Amino acid sequence: METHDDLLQPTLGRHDSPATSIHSARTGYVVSFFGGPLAGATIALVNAYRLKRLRVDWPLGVLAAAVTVFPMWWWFRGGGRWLIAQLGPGAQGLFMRALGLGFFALVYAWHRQYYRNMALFGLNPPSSWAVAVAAVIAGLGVTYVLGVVFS
Amino acid sequence: MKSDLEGTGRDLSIIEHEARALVERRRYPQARLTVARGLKEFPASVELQYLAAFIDYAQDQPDTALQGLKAVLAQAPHHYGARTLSAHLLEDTHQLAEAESVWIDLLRDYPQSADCYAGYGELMLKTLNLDKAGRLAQEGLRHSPDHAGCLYLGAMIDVIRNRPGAQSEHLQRMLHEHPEQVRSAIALAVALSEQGNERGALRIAQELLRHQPDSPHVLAYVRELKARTHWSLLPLYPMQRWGWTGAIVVTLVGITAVRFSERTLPPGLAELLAWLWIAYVIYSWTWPRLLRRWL
Repeated sequence: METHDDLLQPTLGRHDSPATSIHSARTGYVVSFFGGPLAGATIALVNAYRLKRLRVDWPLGVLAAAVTVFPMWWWFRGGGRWLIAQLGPGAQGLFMRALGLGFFALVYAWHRQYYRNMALFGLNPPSSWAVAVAAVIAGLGVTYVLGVVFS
Repeated sequence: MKSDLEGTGRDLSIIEHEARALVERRRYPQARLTVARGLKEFPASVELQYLAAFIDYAQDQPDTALQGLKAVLAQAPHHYGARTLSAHLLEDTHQLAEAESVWIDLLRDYPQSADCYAGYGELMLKTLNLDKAGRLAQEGLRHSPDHAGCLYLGAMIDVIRNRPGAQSEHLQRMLHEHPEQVRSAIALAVALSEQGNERGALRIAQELLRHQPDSPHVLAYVRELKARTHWSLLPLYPMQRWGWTGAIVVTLVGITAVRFSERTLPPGLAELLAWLWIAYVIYSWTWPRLLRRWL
C-alpha cells in the first residue's frame, strides 16, 4: 500500500520521468490513414515511450504487424475479389486505409485518457512532422514489400 | 481612501486587511493602489509585498510577480501564500519540476493542507499523471472531505475517465457543497460539453463570463464553445458528436461512395461528387481552426 511519503516522491524532472505531452490524436489519425497500421503503431509506440509505458504498450506493435500481414496475405490470395469487383482497382488502397483507421481507433481507445487529458487542459503536443513523415514512409515501405512478397 | 492612507501612523494591519479584502473581491486596481500606498509607509511589510506579487500574478504579469515573490521569500522563506503562489507561477512558466518541488516541500510542512494536495494534483493532471493526481485528490479529501479544489480535481479526473456528470460523485458533491464556486460551474460546463451538450455548457460559461468579465480563461472557454456550437460546423456533426469514431466512419463512407460512384454514376456526376468530397475534407480540417481564431 502506498504511503504518504510515496505520494511525495517527485514525478517530474528525473531522467526517467514521463513526458508531459504526447503526439496528438490528429497526428495518429493522419499517419494511420496514409501509412496503415504499422505507421499508426509507430506513433502509438513513440507515445508509449514518451509516457514510459512501453512495457505495457508493446503488444500494439505486434497487433499492428498482425493486422497488416494477415489481411494482406488474405487479399493477395484472392480474398479481395468482391471488393475489387465493386470498387475497381483502387479497392486495395481503400482496404489499407480502413485497416489503418481501424487500428487508429484501437490506439485511441488504448491511450484515450491521455488524449482526453490533453484536450481538457489544452496541452500542446510536441512537434510531430519528422516522426509522422518517417512513420508514413516506413509504413508504406513495409506494406509495399509485403505486397511484392505475397503477390 | 487617499486621505486615510496619507495620514501618518496608520496601522499596518488595517492597510493589510483592506488590501486583502480588495484582492479577495478581485478589485485589483484598487488593491494595487492600497498596497502601493501601504508600501510607501511600511516598505518592509512582507504581507504587502506578497499581495503586490499576487496582484501582478492575477493581472497576468508573471515576471514581475516572480521577482516580487523572490524578495518576499528571501525575507520570509516559510511564507505559505508566497510559496503556493510561486508554485503556481513556476507552473505557468513551464518550470514544472521546480513547481513540483515547491508543492512537495509545502506538503512536507503542511501534511494536512487540502489546498496543497489540490495544487499538486492539478500539476500532476496537467502533466498526464492521472493516477497520481487521483491519489492526491483522495488524500486531500481524506483530510478535508468537502474541499472545493480536491472535489474539482476529482470531477476533472472523472470526466477524463469518461464518467458522466450524473455518475461523478465528486461533481455531485461539489455542486451540492459549493454551488457558488466558479470551479463548480466550470466543472459542470466541462461535464456537459463532454456529454455532447455544448449549448448547455455555453450557457453556463457565458453566465460565468458575465460574473468574471476579466478572466482570460473563462473568455477562452466561451470562445471555444462558441466555435463548437457555430452553425457553420453543422456538417461536422458526426465528428463533434462521436469524435474520432465519427471521423473514421465519415472518411470510409465518403471514400467508398466516391469510388462506387465512379463505376455507377455518369462521369460528370461522379466527378462532381469527388470534388464535393475533397471540398468537405478540406473544410473539415481547416474551418474549425479558422473559426476559433476569428470568434
